[in-house]
Amino acid sequence: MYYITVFASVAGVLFMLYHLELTRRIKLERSNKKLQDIVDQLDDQAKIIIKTDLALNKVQEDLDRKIAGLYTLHELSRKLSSTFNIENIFGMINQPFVLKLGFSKLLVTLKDNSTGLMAIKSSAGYSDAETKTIETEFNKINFASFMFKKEKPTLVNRLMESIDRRWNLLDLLKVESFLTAPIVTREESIGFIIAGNTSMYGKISENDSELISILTGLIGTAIESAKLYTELFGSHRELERRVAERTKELEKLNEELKNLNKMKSDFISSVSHELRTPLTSIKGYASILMTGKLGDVLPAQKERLEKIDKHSNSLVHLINNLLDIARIESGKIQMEMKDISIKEMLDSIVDIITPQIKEKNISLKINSKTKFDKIKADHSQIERIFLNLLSNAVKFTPEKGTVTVDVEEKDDVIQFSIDDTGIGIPPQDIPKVFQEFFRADNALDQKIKGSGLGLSLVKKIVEAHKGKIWFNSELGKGSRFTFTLPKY
Amino acid sequence: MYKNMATLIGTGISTKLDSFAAGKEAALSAYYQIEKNYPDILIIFISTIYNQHETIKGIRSIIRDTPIIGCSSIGSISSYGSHQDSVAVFIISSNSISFFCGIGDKISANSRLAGSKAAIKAFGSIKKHAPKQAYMMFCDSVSGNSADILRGAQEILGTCFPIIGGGACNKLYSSKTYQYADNEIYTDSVTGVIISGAMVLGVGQSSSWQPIGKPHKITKAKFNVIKEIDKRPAVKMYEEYFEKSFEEIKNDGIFKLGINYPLGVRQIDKNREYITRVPLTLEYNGSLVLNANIREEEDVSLMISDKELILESAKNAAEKALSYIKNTKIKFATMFSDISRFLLLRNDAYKEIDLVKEIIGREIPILGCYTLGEYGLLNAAESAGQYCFNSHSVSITLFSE
Repeated sequence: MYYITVFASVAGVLFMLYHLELTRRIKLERSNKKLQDIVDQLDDQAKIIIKTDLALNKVQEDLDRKIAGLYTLHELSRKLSSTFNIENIFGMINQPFVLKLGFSKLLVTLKDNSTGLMAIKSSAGYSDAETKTIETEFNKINFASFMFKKEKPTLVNRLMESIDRRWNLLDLLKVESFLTAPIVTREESIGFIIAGNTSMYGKISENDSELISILTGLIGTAIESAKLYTELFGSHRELERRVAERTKELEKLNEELKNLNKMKSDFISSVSHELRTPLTSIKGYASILMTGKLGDVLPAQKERLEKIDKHSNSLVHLINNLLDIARIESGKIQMEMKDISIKEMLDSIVDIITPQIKEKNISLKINSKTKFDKIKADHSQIERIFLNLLSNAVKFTPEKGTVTVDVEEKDDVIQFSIDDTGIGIPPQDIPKVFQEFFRADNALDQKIKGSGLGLSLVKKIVEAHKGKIWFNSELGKGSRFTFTLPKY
Repeated sequence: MYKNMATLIGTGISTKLDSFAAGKEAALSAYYQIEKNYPDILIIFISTIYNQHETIKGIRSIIRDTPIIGCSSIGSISSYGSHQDSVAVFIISSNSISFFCGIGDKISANSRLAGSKAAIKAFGSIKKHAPKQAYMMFCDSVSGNSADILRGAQEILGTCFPIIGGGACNKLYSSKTYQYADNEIYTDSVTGVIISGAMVLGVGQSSSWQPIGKPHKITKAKFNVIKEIDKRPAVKMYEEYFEKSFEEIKNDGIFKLGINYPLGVRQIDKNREYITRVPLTLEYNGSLVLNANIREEEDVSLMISDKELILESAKNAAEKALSYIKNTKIKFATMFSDISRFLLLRNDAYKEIDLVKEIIGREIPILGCYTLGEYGLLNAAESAGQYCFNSHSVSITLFSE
C-alpha cells in the first residue's frame, strides 16, 4: 500500500512537472511565434521604408541629373556664343561634355549638301572606325529621311516597339537606350543628334528629351549663326577686295594723270620758253623802232608799235603765269618761307592797288581781327595772291562799290577773305573757277581782259603754302574769296 | 597655398570641359601654390568624363618628371570642397617626406598577388632604415577582390602597417576604372606609394550604414561570392526587399541597388560600425559577386543610411584620427569617402568635408577623392590595430610632425 501510495505520488508529481513543462513550452512557442511575427512585421515595415527610400532617391537622382544637364548646356551655350566657326562648335561636343550631360555616347550628324549624304561631325564614346561604320549604315538605311520628318526627340530602348525593330539601331550604336532628335535651322532639318547610354545604370528616359531638345536647338542656332557670320564675313572680304582693287585702279589712273599733268606742265614750260625768246626779240625790235633810231616813225606807225609793245607785255605776263603754274605743279619753284608781317604786307598791297581803286571810286576796307601779326610765307608769292584776288575784286565791282579784306585768326591758321560787291559768279561756273584758262560766260567778263590763269595760279600758290582756298558767290551781289595760310 | 616648414602642398582643381586644358589648369594652379619648388610627388584624381591620356598630357605639360600616383574618380575632395567631374592635382614638395611608388597588375586574375607585387615594388625602392610611415594604394574596385589586394599588400608590409586609400571608380559606376603610376594609365591594377619620413600618423575610419529588416544567414559563400542566403539564391534577398524580379534586377544592375543598400555582415564595435560589402554583379544562378570577401554562416543584413548618419560618421572618423596625434602639428590630411556617401549627400557633399575641416583645423590641406571602398583602421581596439577594407566609409589620415 505504502509503495502504491509513493508510486502514485511520484507519478502525480511527474505528471504535474510534465504538465508544467508542456505549458511552459507551449507558452515559449507562443512567445517565439509572437516574436517571429513581430520580426516579420518589422521586416515588412522595413520593406516599405526601403521602397520609399528608393523612390525618394530616384526622384532626387532624376532631379540632380536634370540640374547637372541644364547647367552643362548653359556652359555650352556660353561657349557657343563666343565662336562663329562651325568646326569649333563640333569640337565643344566632346567626351567630357557628353558624360557631364549624362550620356555615355553621342553623335552629331549633318547633311552634306554637296553629296546629299549624312556625315558624322562630332562623336563621343566611339572609335573612328565605329563612327565610320555607323555613318555608312545611316546612309545605307537613309535614316535621315526618317529623322527629318520628326519634330520632337524620339526615345528608343529594348523594351519599346520602335524604330529599333526596323534597323536594329541599339546594336549598331552599342547602347541600351538612346534619344534622337533633328537639328533644325530656319525650319529646315539639317541633321540629327543621337545620345545614348551603354551603362544600364544610366538608362535614358523621356525626362531626358528636354535636354536633347535644348541641345539640338543650341547646335542649330550656333550653326546658323556661324553660317550667317561666314556669309557676312565673305561679303565683307569681297567688298574689301573690290575696294582694294578699285583703289589700285584709281591709284594707277592717278599716277597716269600725274604723268600726263607733268607732261602738260613740261610741254607748257618748254613752249613758254620757246615763245618768250622770239617775243623778247619782237618787243626789242618794236622798242628800237619806236625810238626812231632806224628812221622817223609816223604817228600811225607809233600807235601800231605801242600796241605791239602792249600786247607783247600781255603775252609775256601770260607766259610767265603759265610758267609759274607749271613750275609750282612740278615742284620746281621752292617757296622761300620767311616771317612776314601781315600788316606791312597788306599796306604794301594796298599801295599797289590804290590807283585802280581810285579810278573806279571803290571803297577798300581792311578789317584785321588778329593779334598775331606774323606768318611764314614766300613774300613775293603771297603778294601775287593778294594782287590777283584784289585786282579781280576791283575789276568785277562796279564803280562806287566796296571791296573788303578780312583777316582772322583760326586755330593754327590765318584766314584772309576778299569780299566784293561785284557781279558775282553764275552758279554753273562755280566748279570751273579755279580751272586754267576759264573765263565766265558773261558780257562783263568778256569785256574785261584776262588770261583765265590768275585764280588757277592763286590756288597753286596757296596749296604750295599748305593752305586752302574757297569762295562763296551770289550772282549780282558779289563774291567772297577766302584762303588760309598756316601761322608757322 | 599651404606652407608648413619644409613641406608645401599645392592643390589644383579644374572643371574645364576640355581634357588637356583641365589637366593643365589644375597642374598650373597647384604648381603656383608650391611657389615653383621642386615637386616630390603628384597625387592626381581624374573624373572619368575626361580623356585620361589627354588629361595627363595636360598635367605633364606643366610638371614633367615628378612621379604620379592616383586613380580615376567621380569627384575630388580637397580643402576647397567637393568637386564632381573634376581634375584634381595635389603636389607635395618636401625635404622631410619621401615617396616610393609601385604597381601591381592583373588583379582580376589574382588580387592578392597584384597587391603584394605593388607593395614589393614600392617597398623595394626605399632605403633599409628609412622610416616608413604609411602606404597609400588605389585599386581597380570593380575587377577584383579589394580585401584580397589588401591582404597581398599586408603580406609585405604587415597587418598593422598603416594602409590607406581606396578603390578607383567611374562616373558610370561599375564601368572600367583607371589607376595612374608615372606616365602610365592602368586598369585592372593597383598602384601604391610608400610615404617615408619622420612624422606621426592619425588614422580614423567610420561607416554610417545601419541594418534594416531582419538578419539573414549566409548559408553558402566562397571568397567574395555569396551563393545562398537562408538556403536560397542570394539575390532573393534583394528581390524580396525591393519587390523586383530577377530580370529587373539584372537589367537595372545589382550595383545600382547595392551601392545605396549594401550588405552588412557584422558589427565590429559598440558604436554601431558594420563591415559592409557591395554586390558588383549578379550571376545567372542568383549568386552575388561582392567587392570583397565574406564568410559563410555569418548573419547578413540589408543596410541603409541617411545624410545625418553620414555626417556623424565623418565627424567620428576625424575625431578618431585626431585622437592619435594630439599636441602635434598637422602637415596635411588625406580623406577618402565612399561614392555611396556622395550619392546620398549630393549637393550637401561639401558638408562632410566642412565637418572634417572644423575638427582637424581649417588651414590643414586635404587631399582625396571619392572611392569605391576604403582602406583604413575601422576600430583599432577590436581589430588589434589591423588595417582593413570596408565600403561606405570615410577614411581620414592626418600626417603630422
